[in-house]
Amino acid sequence: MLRQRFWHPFTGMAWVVGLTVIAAAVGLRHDGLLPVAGLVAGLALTAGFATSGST
Amino acid sequence: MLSSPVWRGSPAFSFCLGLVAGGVVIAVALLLVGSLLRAPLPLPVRAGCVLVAAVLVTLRELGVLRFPLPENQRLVPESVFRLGRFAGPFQFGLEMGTGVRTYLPSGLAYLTAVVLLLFSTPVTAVAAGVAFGLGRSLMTTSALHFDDAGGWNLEWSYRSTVVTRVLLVTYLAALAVLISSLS
Repeated sequence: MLRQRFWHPFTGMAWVVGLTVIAAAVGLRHDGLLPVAGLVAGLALTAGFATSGST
Repeated sequence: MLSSPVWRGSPAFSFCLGLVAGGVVIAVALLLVGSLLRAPLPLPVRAGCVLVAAVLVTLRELGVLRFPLPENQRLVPESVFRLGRFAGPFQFGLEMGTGVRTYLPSGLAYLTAVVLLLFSTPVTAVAAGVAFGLGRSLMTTSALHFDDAGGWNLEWSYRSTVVTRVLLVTYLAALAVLISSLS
C-alpha cells in the first residue's frame, strides 16, 4: 500500500508541480541564466510528465 | 509493454537514459532551427507568439477547441529490442524521447517546443531536454514500481483529468513568470 502511494500518479504530479513552483519562485526573485534555465527546465519537466500518459 | 516486470533493472534504466538523450536531441534541434526565427523577430513578437500558442493549447487541453497537432501516430517498432538489453531499450527511449517518432498526447510538449524555438539558449535547451526526459522517465518509473499487474495505468485512467489540469495550471503559471522575466 505504501509502495502504491509512493508511486501513485498524484505523487509524481506533486514532485513535478513542487519542483516547477520552486523554479518559478527562484525565477521571480532572481535574474540571470541559471534561474531562466531552471524555469525552462520546470516547464519541460511538467510537459514531459504530462506527455507520457499511460505507459 | 513498459509495465512488464521484465523491464525492471538495467533495461528500465537504459530506457530512461534514452528518454533523456532523446529530449536533449530534440531540444538542441529546436535551438538550431529557432536560431533562424530568433534573430529577425523582436522580443515582443516572440512573446506574443508564445502567448497565442499558450491560449490555443490551453483551449485544446480543456476541450474547448479541437484541432490536430502534428504527431507521428505510430508505435516505435518492437524490432528495436533485437539490439539487446541495453541498446534496445535505449533506442526505444531515444525515439520516444524526441517526441517525433510516436504519439504525443499532451499539447504542453508543443508549447515547450514553441518556447524553445523562440527563446532558447544552449544552456536552456540542454536543461529543457534533460528535464523533458526526466518527466517522461518519472511516469515510466512510477508505472514499473506501482505494482506487478499494470495497476498504474488503471490508476492513471481514473486520475488523468485531474493530473493533466493541475499540470496545465502549473505550466501556465511558470510560463507567465518566464515571459515576464524575459520581457
